[in-house]
Amino acid sequence: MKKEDFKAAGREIMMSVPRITVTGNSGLYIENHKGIEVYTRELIRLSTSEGSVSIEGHDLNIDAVRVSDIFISGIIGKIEFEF
Amino acid sequence: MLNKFFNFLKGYVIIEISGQNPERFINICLRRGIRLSSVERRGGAMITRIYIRDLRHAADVRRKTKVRIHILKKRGVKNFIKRYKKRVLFAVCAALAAAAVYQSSRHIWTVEINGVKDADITRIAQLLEENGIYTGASKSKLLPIGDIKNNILADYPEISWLWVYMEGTKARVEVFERRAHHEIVDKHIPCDIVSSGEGVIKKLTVKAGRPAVAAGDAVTYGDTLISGQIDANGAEGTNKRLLVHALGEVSAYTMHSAEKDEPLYDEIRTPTGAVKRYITLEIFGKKYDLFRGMAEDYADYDIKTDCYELTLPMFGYTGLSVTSQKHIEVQPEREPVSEELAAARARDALEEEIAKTLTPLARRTDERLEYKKVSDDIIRVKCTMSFIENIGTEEIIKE
Repeated sequence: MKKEDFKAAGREIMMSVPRITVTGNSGLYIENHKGIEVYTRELIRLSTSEGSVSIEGHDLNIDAVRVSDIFISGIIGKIEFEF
Repeated sequence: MLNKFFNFLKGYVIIEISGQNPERFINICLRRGIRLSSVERRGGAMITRIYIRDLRHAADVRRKTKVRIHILKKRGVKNFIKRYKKRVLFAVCAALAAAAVYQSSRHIWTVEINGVKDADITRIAQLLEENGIYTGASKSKLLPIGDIKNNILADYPEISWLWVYMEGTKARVEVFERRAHHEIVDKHIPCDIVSSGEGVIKKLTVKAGRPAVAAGDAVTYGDTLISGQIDANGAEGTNKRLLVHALGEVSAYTMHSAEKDEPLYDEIRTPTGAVKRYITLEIFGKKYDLFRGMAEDYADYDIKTDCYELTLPMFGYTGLSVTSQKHIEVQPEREPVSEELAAARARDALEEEIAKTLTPLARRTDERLEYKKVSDDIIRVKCTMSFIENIGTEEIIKE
Protein backbone atom coordinates (compact mmCIF):
# COMPACT_ATOMS: atom_id res chain seq x y z
CA MET A 1 0.00 0.00 0.00
CA LYS A 2 1.28 3.42 -0.90
CA LYS A 3 1.71 6.07 1.73
CA GLU A 4 -1.09 8.17 0.17
CA ASP A 5 -3.51 5.22 0.19
CA PHE A 6 -2.68 4.46 3.79
CA LYS A 7 -3.37 8.05 4.71
CA ALA A 8 -6.69 8.03 2.86
CA ALA A 9 -7.83 4.76 4.46
CA GLY A 10 -7.01 5.91 7.97
CA ARG A 11 -8.48 9.36 7.65
CA GLU A 12 -11.90 8.54 9.04
CA ILE A 13 -10.27 6.75 11.99
CA MET A 14 -7.67 9.38 12.78
CA MET A 15 -9.81 12.46 12.21
CA SER A 16 -13.27 11.12 13.08
CA VAL A 17 -14.55 11.89 9.59
CA PRO A 18 -18.09 10.56 9.15
CA ARG A 19 -18.47 7.32 7.22
CA ILE A 20 -21.92 6.73 5.69
CA THR A 21 -23.25 3.36 4.54
CA VAL A 22 -26.52 3.43 2.60
CA THR A 23 -28.64 0.28 2.08
CA GLY A 24 -30.94 0.87 -0.90
CA ASN A 25 -33.26 3.73 0.07
CA SER A 26 -34.42 2.10 3.28
CA GLY A 27 -31.45 2.10 5.63
CA LEU A 28 -28.55 4.32 6.51
CA TYR A 29 -25.68 3.81 8.93
CA ILE A 30 -23.46 6.71 9.98
CA GLU A 31 -20.30 6.37 11.99
CA ASN A 32 -18.48 9.20 13.73
CA HIS A 33 -21.41 11.55 14.18
CA LYS A 34 -21.30 14.17 16.91
CA GLY A 35 -24.97 14.30 17.88
CA ILE A 36 -28.51 14.81 16.65
CA GLU A 37 -29.37 18.38 15.68
CA VAL A 38 -32.90 17.87 14.35
CA TYR A 39 -35.15 14.86 14.32
CA THR A 40 -38.55 14.79 12.66
CA ARG A 41 -40.29 12.11 10.60
CA GLU A 42 -39.15 13.89 7.41
CA LEU A 43 -35.71 15.20 8.37
CA ILE A 44 -32.80 14.08 10.48
CA ARG A 45 -29.81 16.38 10.72
CA LEU A 46 -26.67 15.11 12.37
CA SER A 47 -23.67 17.04 13.49
CA THR A 48 -20.28 15.74 12.36
CA SER A 49 -16.67 16.92 12.62
CA GLU A 50 -16.92 18.35 9.12
CA GLY A 51 -20.31 20.03 9.31
CA SER A 52 -23.86 18.72 9.17
CA VAL A 53 -25.40 15.79 7.34
CA SER A 54 -29.11 16.05 6.54
CA ILE A 55 -31.20 13.01 5.66
CA GLU A 56 -34.58 13.77 4.13
CA GLY A 57 -37.33 11.26 3.47
CA HIS A 58 -40.50 9.76 4.93
CA ASP A 59 -41.20 7.85 8.14
CA LEU A 60 -37.61 8.26 9.30
CA ASN A 61 -36.83 6.34 12.43
CA ILE A 62 -33.74 5.98 14.58
CA ASP A 63 -33.47 2.24 15.16
CA ALA A 64 -30.30 2.40 17.20
CA VAL A 65 -28.12 5.23 18.39
CA ARG A 66 -24.86 5.27 20.26
CA VAL A 67 -22.36 7.98 21.04
CA SER A 68 -20.54 7.63 17.70
CA ASP A 69 -22.85 5.74 15.35
CA ILE A 70 -26.49 5.75 14.40
CA PHE A 71 -28.76 3.53 12.30
CA ILE A 72 -31.64 5.23 10.49
CA SER A 73 -34.48 3.42 8.72
CA GLY A 74 -37.38 4.66 6.62
CA ILE A 75 -37.75 5.87 3.05
CA ILE A 76 -34.67 7.93 2.34
CA GLY A 77 -35.03 10.55 -0.37
CA LYS A 78 -31.99 12.80 -0.07
CA ILE A 79 -28.68 13.00 1.77
CA GLU A 80 -27.16 16.47 1.98
CA PHE A 81 -23.86 17.74 3.34
CA GLU A 82 -23.43 21.22 4.74
CA PHE A 83 -19.74 21.93 5.28
CA MET B 1 -34.89 -11.93 18.69
CA LEU B 2 -31.94 -12.62 20.94
CA ASN B 3 -31.51 -8.88 21.50
CA LYS B 4 -35.15 -8.57 22.57
CA PHE B 5 -34.68 -11.48 24.99
CA PHE B 6 -31.65 -9.87 26.63
CA ASN B 7 -33.44 -6.53 26.79
CA PHE B 8 -36.32 -8.29 28.54
CA LEU B 9 -33.89 -9.88 31.01
CA LYS B 10 -32.25 -6.56 31.83
CA GLY B 11 -35.55 -4.69 31.99
CA TYR B 12 -36.37 -1.48 30.15
CA VAL B 13 -38.95 1.27 30.01
CA ILE B 14 -40.53 3.01 27.07
CA ILE B 15 -40.45 6.75 27.68
CA GLU B 16 -41.92 9.78 25.99
CA ILE B 17 -39.68 12.85 25.87
CA SER B 18 -41.38 16.15 25.24
CA GLY B 19 -40.34 19.75 25.65
CA GLN B 20 -38.23 22.36 23.94
CA ASN B 21 -35.29 20.29 22.75
CA PRO B 22 -35.57 16.52 23.07
CA GLU B 23 -32.63 16.10 20.61
CA ARG B 24 -30.36 17.75 23.20
CA PHE B 25 -31.59 15.32 25.84
CA ILE B 26 -30.67 12.40 23.56
CA ASN B 27 -27.23 13.79 22.75
CA ILE B 28 -26.33 14.29 26.40
CA CYS B 29 -27.63 10.81 27.26
CA LEU B 30 -25.38 9.33 24.58
CA ARG B 31 -22.35 11.24 25.80
CA ARG B 32 -22.99 10.01 29.34
CA GLY B 33 -23.17 6.40 28.14
CA ILE B 34 -26.92 6.01 28.56
CA ARG B 35 -28.10 3.58 25.92
CA LEU B 36 -31.20 4.45 23.92
CA SER B 37 -32.85 2.40 21.22
CA SER B 38 -35.75 2.72 18.77
CA VAL B 39 -35.98 6.48 18.88
CA GLU B 40 -39.21 7.48 17.20
CA ARG B 41 -40.71 10.88 16.57
CA ARG B 42 -44.42 10.98 17.40
CA GLY B 43 -45.90 14.43 17.00
CA GLY B 44 -43.95 16.91 19.10
CA ALA B 45 -42.52 14.20 21.34
CA MET B 46 -40.01 11.41 21.00
CA ILE B 47 -40.52 7.86 22.12
CA THR B 48 -37.52 5.75 23.04
CA ARG B 49 -36.46 2.77 25.10
CA ILE B 50 -34.07 3.01 28.00
CA TYR B 51 -32.77 0.44 30.46
CA ILE B 52 -34.28 0.69 33.94
CA ARG B 53 -30.80 0.97 35.49
CA ASP B 54 -30.14 4.11 33.35
CA LEU B 55 -33.39 5.82 34.29
CA ARG B 56 -31.88 7.55 37.36
CA HIS B 57 -29.02 8.99 35.26
CA ALA B 58 -31.54 10.12 32.65
CA ALA B 59 -33.38 12.05 35.35
CA ASP B 60 -30.27 14.23 35.85
CA VAL B 61 -30.18 14.92 32.12
CA ARG B 62 -33.87 15.74 32.18
CA ARG B 63 -33.29 18.45 34.80
CA LYS B 64 -30.43 19.91 32.76
CA THR B 65 -32.31 19.98 29.44
CA LYS B 66 -35.67 20.91 30.97
CA VAL B 67 -37.61 18.30 29.02
CA ARG B 68 -40.51 16.24 30.37
CA ILE B 69 -40.27 12.48 30.61
CA HIS B 70 -43.33 10.34 30.81
CA ILE B 71 -42.99 6.58 31.34
CA LEU B 72 -45.35 4.81 28.94
CA LYS B 73 -44.58 1.14 29.64
CA LYS B 74 -42.37 -0.96 31.86
CA ARG B 75 -40.97 -4.17 30.49
CA GLY B 76 -38.66 -6.86 31.80
CA VAL B 77 -38.32 -9.79 34.14
CA LYS B 78 -38.24 -7.70 37.33
CA ASN B 79 -41.37 -5.85 36.34
CA PHE B 80 -43.06 -9.10 35.35
CA ILE B 81 -42.26 -10.71 38.73
CA LYS B 82 -43.31 -7.56 40.58
CA ARG B 83 -46.65 -7.59 38.82
CA TYR B 84 -47.43 -11.25 39.36
CA LYS B 85 -45.76 -12.06 42.72
CA LYS B 86 -49.04 -11.73 44.62
CA ARG B 87 -50.89 -14.05 42.23
CA VAL B 88 -49.75 -17.38 43.68
CA LEU B 89 -52.31 -19.47 41.81
CA PHE B 90 -51.20 -17.97 38.53
CA ALA B 91 -47.57 -18.75 39.33
CA VAL B 92 -48.44 -22.33 40.32
CA CYS B 93 -50.45 -22.84 37.11
CA ALA B 94 -47.64 -21.36 35.04
CA ALA B 95 -45.13 -23.67 36.71
CA LEU B 96 -47.43 -26.68 36.17
CA ALA B 97 -47.94 -25.74 32.52
CA ALA B 98 -44.18 -25.39 32.04
CA ALA B 99 -43.66 -28.80 33.69
CA ALA B 100 -46.37 -30.36 31.49
CA VAL B 101 -44.83 -28.92 28.34
CA TYR B 102 -41.39 -30.14 29.43
CA GLN B 103 -42.74 -33.61 30.21
CA SER B 104 -44.69 -33.80 26.94
CA SER B 105 -41.60 -32.80 25.01
CA ARG B 106 -39.93 -36.01 26.20
CA HIS B 107 -42.41 -38.14 24.24
CA ILE B 108 -43.29 -38.82 20.63
CA TRP B 109 -46.77 -37.55 19.82
CA THR B 110 -46.86 -37.87 16.05
CA VAL B 111 -45.31 -40.38 13.70
CA GLU B 112 -45.15 -39.21 10.09
CA ILE B 113 -44.16 -41.76 7.43
CA ASN B 114 -43.07 -40.36 4.06
CA GLY B 115 -41.96 -41.93 0.77
CA VAL B 116 -44.21 -45.00 0.75
CA LYS B 117 -45.69 -45.85 -2.65
CA ASP B 118 -45.99 -49.59 -3.08
CA ALA B 119 -44.83 -50.86 0.31
CA ASP B 120 -47.31 -51.74 3.06
CA ILE B 121 -47.48 -48.65 5.29
CA THR B 122 -49.32 -50.58 8.04
CA ARG B 123 -46.47 -53.09 8.18
CA ILE B 124 -43.91 -50.28 8.38
CA ALA B 125 -45.91 -48.62 11.19
CA GLN B 126 -46.03 -51.96 13.02
CA LEU B 127 -42.26 -52.45 12.64
CA LEU B 128 -41.68 -48.90 13.88
CA GLU B 129 -43.86 -49.65 16.89
CA GLU B 130 -41.90 -52.83 17.61
CA ASN B 131 -38.77 -50.69 17.57
CA GLY B 132 -40.18 -48.09 19.94
CA ILE B 133 -41.47 -45.45 17.51
CA TYR B 134 -45.15 -44.95 18.34
CA THR B 135 -47.46 -42.26 19.68
CA GLY B 136 -46.75 -41.76 23.37
CA ALA B 137 -43.32 -43.45 23.33
CA SER B 138 -40.65 -41.98 25.54
CA LYS B 139 -37.82 -40.43 23.55
CA SER B 140 -35.27 -41.22 26.24
CA LYS B 141 -35.86 -44.99 25.87
CA LEU B 142 -35.40 -45.05 22.12
CA LEU B 143 -32.84 -47.31 20.50
CA PRO B 144 -30.15 -45.59 18.45
CA ILE B 145 -31.72 -44.57 15.12
CA GLY B 146 -29.13 -46.61 13.20
CA ASP B 147 -30.22 -49.77 15.06
CA ILE B 148 -33.91 -49.02 14.35
CA LYS B 149 -33.05 -48.64 10.67
CA ASN B 150 -31.09 -51.91 10.59
CA ASN B 151 -33.84 -53.84 12.43
CA ILE B 152 -36.57 -52.63 10.08
CA LEU B 153 -34.52 -53.20 6.92
CA ALA B 154 -33.77 -56.75 8.09
CA ASP B 155 -37.48 -57.45 8.73
CA TYR B 156 -38.80 -55.74 5.61
CA PRO B 157 -36.46 -56.26 2.65
CA GLU B 158 -38.78 -54.43 0.23
CA ILE B 159 -37.46 -51.13 1.54
CA SER B 160 -33.89 -50.16 0.80
CA TRP B 161 -33.34 -47.34 3.29
CA LEU B 162 -35.14 -45.70 6.18
CA TRP B 163 -34.30 -43.01 8.71
CA VAL B 164 -36.13 -41.47 11.64
CA TYR B 165 -35.78 -37.73 12.17
CA MET B 166 -36.87 -36.43 15.56
CA GLU B 167 -38.47 -32.99 15.18
CA GLY B 168 -39.56 -31.97 18.64
CA THR B 169 -42.29 -34.40 19.56
CA LYS B 170 -42.73 -35.56 15.98
CA ALA B 171 -40.94 -38.58 14.52
CA ARG B 172 -40.59 -38.11 10.78
CA VAL B 173 -39.78 -41.37 9.04
CA GLU B 174 -38.36 -41.18 5.52
CA VAL B 175 -38.67 -44.43 3.57
CA PHE B 176 -37.02 -45.38 0.28
CA GLU B 177 -38.49 -48.41 -1.42
CA ARG B 178 -36.36 -50.96 -3.17
CA ARG B 179 -36.73 -50.77 -6.94
CA ALA B 180 -37.33 -54.06 -8.70
CA HIS B 181 -34.24 -55.31 -10.44
CA HIS B 182 -32.90 -58.52 -11.86
CA GLU B 183 -31.23 -60.78 -9.41
CA ILE B 184 -27.51 -60.87 -10.09
CA VAL B 185 -26.13 -64.39 -10.10
CA ASP B 186 -22.55 -64.96 -8.93
CA LYS B 187 -20.20 -65.57 -11.90
CA HIS B 188 -19.07 -68.92 -10.51
CA ILE B 189 -22.61 -70.32 -10.44
CA PRO B 190 -23.76 -72.00 -13.69
CA CYS B 191 -26.75 -70.29 -15.22
CA ASP B 192 -28.80 -69.90 -18.40
CA ILE B 193 -29.96 -66.66 -19.92
CA VAL B 194 -33.71 -66.84 -20.36
CA SER B 195 -36.29 -64.51 -21.84
CA SER B 196 -37.96 -62.00 -19.51
CA GLY B 197 -40.80 -61.42 -21.97
CA GLU B 198 -42.21 -62.05 -25.42
CA GLY B 199 -40.52 -60.87 -28.60
CA VAL B 200 -38.65 -61.64 -31.80
CA ILE B 201 -34.88 -61.99 -31.56
CA LYS B 202 -33.00 -59.22 -33.33
CA LYS B 203 -29.42 -59.93 -32.36
CA LEU B 204 -27.66 -62.47 -30.16
CA THR B 205 -24.17 -61.87 -28.79
CA VAL B 206 -22.80 -64.85 -26.85
CA LYS B 207 -19.74 -64.42 -24.64
CA ALA B 208 -20.06 -67.70 -22.76
CA GLY B 209 -22.44 -70.63 -23.21
CA ARG B 210 -24.33 -72.03 -26.20
CA PRO B 211 -26.85 -70.01 -28.25
CA ALA B 212 -30.27 -71.60 -27.97
CA VAL B 213 -32.10 -69.30 -30.41
CA ALA B 214 -31.22 -67.42 -33.58
CA ALA B 215 -32.13 -64.01 -35.02
CA GLY B 216 -35.73 -63.99 -36.23
CA ASP B 217 -36.93 -66.61 -33.70
CA ALA B 218 -40.02 -65.77 -31.66
CA VAL B 219 -39.57 -66.33 -27.95
CA THR B 220 -41.86 -66.17 -24.97
CA TYR B 221 -41.40 -65.68 -21.24
CA GLY B 222 -38.95 -68.19 -19.72
CA ASP B 223 -37.50 -69.53 -22.99
CA THR B 224 -33.78 -70.30 -22.85
CA LEU B 225 -31.86 -67.88 -25.02
CA ILE B 226 -28.27 -68.74 -24.13
CA SER B 227 -27.74 -72.10 -22.48
CA GLY B 228 -25.15 -72.63 -19.78
CA GLN B 229 -25.01 -76.36 -20.61
CA ILE B 230 -22.30 -77.16 -23.16
CA ASP B 231 -21.77 -80.59 -24.73
CA ALA B 232 -18.08 -81.35 -25.03
CA ASN B 233 -16.38 -84.38 -26.51
CA GLY B 234 -14.29 -86.33 -24.01
CA ALA B 235 -10.79 -87.72 -24.71
CA GLU B 236 -12.11 -91.21 -25.46
CA GLY B 237 -14.94 -89.99 -27.70
CA THR B 238 -17.49 -89.83 -24.88
CA ASN B 239 -19.89 -86.93 -24.57
CA LYS B 240 -19.50 -84.80 -21.49
CA ARG B 241 -21.80 -82.00 -20.34
CA LEU B 242 -20.16 -78.87 -18.94
CA LEU B 243 -22.06 -76.29 -16.93
CA VAL B 244 -20.96 -72.67 -17.35
CA HIS B 245 -22.20 -69.24 -16.37
CA ALA B 246 -23.85 -68.08 -19.60
CA LEU B 247 -22.94 -64.54 -20.66
CA GLY B 248 -24.22 -62.45 -23.54
CA GLU B 249 -26.71 -59.94 -24.76
CA VAL B 250 -29.99 -60.71 -26.49
CA SER B 251 -31.79 -57.82 -28.11
CA ALA B 252 -35.29 -58.45 -29.33
CA TYR B 253 -38.23 -56.65 -30.91
CA THR B 254 -40.90 -56.48 -28.24
CA MET B 255 -44.38 -55.07 -28.09
CA HIS B 256 -46.15 -53.66 -25.03
CA SER B 257 -49.69 -52.43 -24.85
CA ALA B 258 -52.03 -50.93 -22.30
CA GLU B 259 -55.54 -49.57 -22.41
CA LYS B 260 -57.83 -47.37 -20.36
CA ASP B 261 -61.18 -45.62 -20.48
CA GLU B 262 -61.11 -41.84 -20.85
CA PRO B 263 -64.05 -39.46 -20.41
CA LEU B 264 -65.06 -37.24 -23.32
CA TYR B 265 -65.57 -34.25 -21.08
CA ASP B 266 -63.79 -31.99 -18.61
CA GLU B 267 -65.50 -31.49 -15.30
CA ILE B 268 -65.39 -27.86 -14.19
CA ARG B 269 -66.22 -27.51 -10.52
CA THR B 270 -67.28 -23.96 -9.77
CA PRO B 271 -67.56 -23.06 -6.03
CA THR B 272 -71.01 -21.73 -5.13
CA GLY B 273 -69.63 -19.82 -2.16
CA ALA B 274 -71.15 -22.08 0.50
CA VAL B 275 -68.47 -23.50 2.82
CA LYS B 276 -68.67 -25.58 5.98
CA ARG B 277 -65.67 -25.83 8.24
CA TYR B 278 -64.93 -28.68 10.63
CA ILE B 279 -62.19 -28.16 13.20
CA THR B 280 -60.33 -31.00 14.87
CA LEU B 281 -57.93 -30.44 17.73
CA GLU B 282 -55.05 -32.84 18.21
CA ILE B 283 -53.48 -32.90 21.66
CA PHE B 284 -50.57 -35.27 22.14
CA GLY B 285 -51.81 -37.72 19.53
CA LYS B 286 -55.49 -37.71 20.60
CA LYS B 287 -57.99 -36.10 18.29
CA TYR B 288 -60.95 -34.05 19.53
CA ASP B 289 -63.60 -32.99 17.03
CA LEU B 290 -65.00 -29.53 17.72
CA PHE B 291 -68.23 -30.39 15.89
CA ARG B 292 -71.07 -32.86 16.17
CA GLY B 293 -70.99 -35.16 13.17
CA MET B 294 -70.32 -34.04 9.64
CA ALA B 295 -73.52 -32.93 7.94
CA GLU B 296 -73.73 -34.02 4.31
CA ASP B 297 -75.74 -30.98 3.24
CA TYR B 298 -74.13 -30.45 -0.12
CA ALA B 299 -74.87 -32.64 -3.14
CA ASP B 300 -71.39 -32.06 -4.52
CA TYR B 301 -68.43 -30.60 -2.68
CA ASP B 302 -64.64 -30.47 -2.58
CA ILE B 303 -62.66 -31.05 0.56
CA LYS B 304 -59.74 -28.83 1.52
CA THR B 305 -57.73 -29.76 4.58
CA ASP B 306 -55.27 -27.45 6.34
CA CYS B 307 -53.19 -28.54 9.31
CA TYR B 308 -51.59 -26.01 11.64
CA GLU B 309 -48.96 -27.45 13.97
CA LEU B 310 -47.76 -25.48 16.97
CA THR B 311 -43.98 -25.44 16.91
CA LEU B 312 -41.69 -23.48 19.19
CA PRO B 313 -38.15 -22.28 18.44
CA MET B 314 -35.49 -24.63 19.90
CA PHE B 315 -38.27 -27.05 20.85
CA GLY B 316 -39.95 -28.18 17.65
CA TYR B 317 -43.43 -29.65 17.42
CA THR B 318 -45.26 -29.30 20.73
CA GLY B 319 -47.81 -32.07 20.14
CA LEU B 320 -50.62 -29.55 19.59
CA SER B 321 -52.20 -29.08 16.19
CA VAL B 322 -55.43 -27.84 14.66
CA THR B 323 -56.84 -29.43 11.50
CA SER B 324 -59.39 -27.47 9.52
CA GLN B 325 -61.44 -29.41 6.99
CA LYS B 326 -63.45 -27.26 4.60
CA HIS B 327 -66.36 -28.65 2.63
CA ILE B 328 -66.67 -26.31 -0.33
CA GLU B 329 -69.92 -26.70 -2.26
CA VAL B 330 -69.36 -26.81 -6.02
CA GLN B 331 -71.52 -26.75 -9.10
CA PRO B 332 -70.10 -29.33 -11.51
CA GLU B 333 -70.35 -28.62 -15.21
CA ARG B 334 -69.21 -30.75 -18.10
CA GLU B 335 -67.29 -29.27 -21.01
CA PRO B 336 -67.12 -31.62 -24.01
CA VAL B 337 -63.70 -32.74 -25.19
CA SER B 338 -62.86 -34.06 -28.65
CA GLU B 339 -62.02 -37.73 -29.06
CA GLU B 340 -58.51 -36.83 -30.30
CA LEU B 341 -57.78 -34.74 -27.23
CA ALA B 342 -59.12 -37.39 -24.85
CA ALA B 343 -57.02 -40.05 -26.61
CA ALA B 344 -53.90 -37.87 -26.37
CA ARG B 345 -54.50 -37.42 -22.63
CA ALA B 346 -54.94 -41.15 -22.14
CA ARG B 347 -51.77 -41.82 -24.12
CA ASP B 348 -49.59 -40.05 -21.53
CA ALA B 349 -51.00 -42.19 -18.72
CA LEU B 350 -50.66 -45.38 -20.79
CA GLU B 351 -47.07 -44.57 -21.71
CA GLU B 352 -46.25 -44.27 -18.01
CA GLU B 353 -47.90 -47.60 -17.36
CA ILE B 354 -45.95 -49.30 -20.18
CA ALA B 355 -42.68 -47.75 -19.00
CA LYS B 356 -43.00 -49.63 -15.71
CA THR B 357 -42.83 -52.98 -17.54
CA LEU B 358 -39.73 -52.22 -19.65
CA THR B 359 -36.19 -53.42 -19.10
CA PRO B 360 -33.48 -50.76 -18.67
CA LEU B 361 -32.20 -49.08 -21.87
CA ALA B 362 -35.23 -50.16 -23.94
CA ARG B 363 -35.46 -48.13 -27.18
CA ARG B 364 -38.88 -47.27 -28.66
CA THR B 365 -39.22 -47.90 -32.38
CA ASP B 366 -42.92 -47.52 -33.07
CA GLU B 367 -46.18 -46.50 -31.46
CA ARG B 368 -49.84 -47.02 -32.29
CA LEU B 369 -52.82 -45.39 -30.65
CA GLU B 370 -56.33 -46.79 -31.17
CA TYR B 371 -59.58 -45.72 -29.60
CA LYS B 372 -63.26 -46.51 -29.88
CA LYS B 373 -66.37 -45.12 -28.26
CA VAL B 374 -67.82 -47.40 -25.58
CA SER B 375 -70.58 -45.00 -24.49
CA ASP B 376 -71.74 -41.48 -25.21
CA ASP B 377 -69.12 -39.91 -23.01
CA ILE B 378 -66.37 -42.56 -22.69
CA ILE B 379 -63.76 -43.80 -25.15
CA ARG B 380 -61.51 -46.83 -24.69
CA VAL B 381 -57.94 -46.00 -25.67
CA LYS B 382 -55.34 -48.66 -26.46
CA CYS B 383 -51.70 -47.75 -26.83
CA THR B 384 -49.27 -50.22 -28.38
CA MET B 385 -45.56 -49.49 -28.42
CA SER B 386 -42.74 -51.42 -30.08
CA PHE B 387 -39.28 -51.54 -28.55
CA ILE B 388 -35.85 -53.01 -29.01
CA GLU B 389 -34.74 -54.22 -25.61
CA ASN B 390 -32.40 -56.63 -23.94
CA ILE B 391 -34.73 -59.40 -22.79
CA GLY B 392 -32.10 -61.76 -21.40
CA THR B 393 -32.08 -62.46 -17.68
CA GLU B 394 -29.95 -64.90 -15.69
CA GLU B 395 -31.50 -68.05 -14.23
CA ILE B 396 -29.55 -70.54 -12.14
CA ILE B 397 -29.39 -74.06 -13.62
CA LYS B 398 -31.11 -76.50 -11.30
CA GLU B 399 -29.50 -79.95 -11.27
